[in-house]
Amino acid sequence: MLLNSNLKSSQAMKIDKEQLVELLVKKTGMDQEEVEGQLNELIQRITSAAERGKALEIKGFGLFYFDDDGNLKFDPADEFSTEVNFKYAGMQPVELKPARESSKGGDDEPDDEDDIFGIEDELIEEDEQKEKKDEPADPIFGDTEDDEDEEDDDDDPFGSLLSGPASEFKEQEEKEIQKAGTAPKSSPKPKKEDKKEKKKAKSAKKSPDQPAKKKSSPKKKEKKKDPMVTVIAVIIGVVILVGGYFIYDEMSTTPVEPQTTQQPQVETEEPPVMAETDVTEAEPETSDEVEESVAEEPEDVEATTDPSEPYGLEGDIVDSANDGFTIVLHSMRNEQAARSAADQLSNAGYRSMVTERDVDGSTVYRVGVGQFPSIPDAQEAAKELPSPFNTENFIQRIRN
Amino acid sequence: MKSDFINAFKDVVREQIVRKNSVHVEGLGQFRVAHKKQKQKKYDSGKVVMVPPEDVIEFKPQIKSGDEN
Repeated sequence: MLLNSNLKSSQAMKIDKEQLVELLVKKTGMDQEEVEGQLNELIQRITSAAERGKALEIKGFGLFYFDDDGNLKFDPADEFSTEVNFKYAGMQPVELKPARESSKGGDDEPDDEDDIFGIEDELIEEDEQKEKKDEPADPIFGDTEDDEDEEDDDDDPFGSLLSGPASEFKEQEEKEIQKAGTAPKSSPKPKKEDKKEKKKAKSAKKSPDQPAKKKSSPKKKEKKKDPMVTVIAVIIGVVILVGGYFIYDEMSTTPVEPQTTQQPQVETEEPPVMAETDVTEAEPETSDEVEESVAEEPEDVEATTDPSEPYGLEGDIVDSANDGFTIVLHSMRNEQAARSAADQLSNAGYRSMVTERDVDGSTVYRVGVGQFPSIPDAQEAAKELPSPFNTENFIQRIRN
Repeated sequence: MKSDFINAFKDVVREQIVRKNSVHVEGLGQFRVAHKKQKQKKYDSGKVVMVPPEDVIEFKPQIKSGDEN
């Protein structure tokens, strides 16, 4: 059992064929010869299917196929990828800053950019004047952006610096902030809107008289340049927007997280399925050993619970519901302890069960409650459990 | 081909890959995990995003079409 001790080390290591066979022997209970035979057969299957222009899919694992250059390719299945990437699951690309563009065209582009460093004041002024005329009549964002600007007016700590001749900088900054504000508009986040709406509501109260003030600025035409003021104001605007975006992003991703982080713990032992799919034209020849692809991954099943179904948290174990998921509350190495814990839960009215799992080469006994058709259902039910079980649990597939 | 075996094969490889071990399947190729650092990406529209880091499964094939059969 040298291998076992090797496997326990956290150091990443290579599993060569010999080790792979040993692991497979342990897993399947077949003897070494049989495992090697099966392994070769599997490789044969993958290559021959790929040779025939078909892709061979192993459910829950991935897809093997040859690309146009004749290289064997492997596309991991989603759940496999997620499992491997669990550390970063749920992270999404973050927009760093509004789009930058150096030309003066495309005033109405959503990704129109601002000149953060004040190098292109001339251009921006021209843009600005043009924009004033053909400002798009955006029913939602047009309003909110104006309001946002006005809010900035109110709170602008630099407002006093901007009195008198400098007031047109304010004008310019507003424009720029506004332009900066257009970038998130293109962001796919749907709830950004809500946020803006809120802002709008807030600022609308605050500054009903702002537009008039803006228009009456006496030196509107006279453009003086103070790049520092511009830069500061733009930076403030960008920081507010980016900050808001981050906070929003946080809020929008957290609810999803439990599901994604839990995924690695979910053991998906579905019936083994291999399916060949045509990647080129249909072939008359179909291997008789090829099984049909299972239609749906259980993880993908929507949380639709029919009350008449055999699933549930309380009562007795229903055998037909053992194809689903359970909420694991204890994981023990001692079977006796696990059984008695299960009995206790059972006495408390829960459907409880003990399942055996191999973890890192040793057997653990997991005590689970309830039978659920899908992970979301189980998660939902888990929230209702008494403390500390409502937080200290994970969902696993019931394997029978 | 026993379905038990395919299942076991899948489980064994998944287990090892999740532990960041690479798995060589002789006659097929090598599975391993590669870490991708976070990086900036610029779209044609000029939008710049920070792409989060990621661990991805890489497969390095040992065979090419025509090598066998």
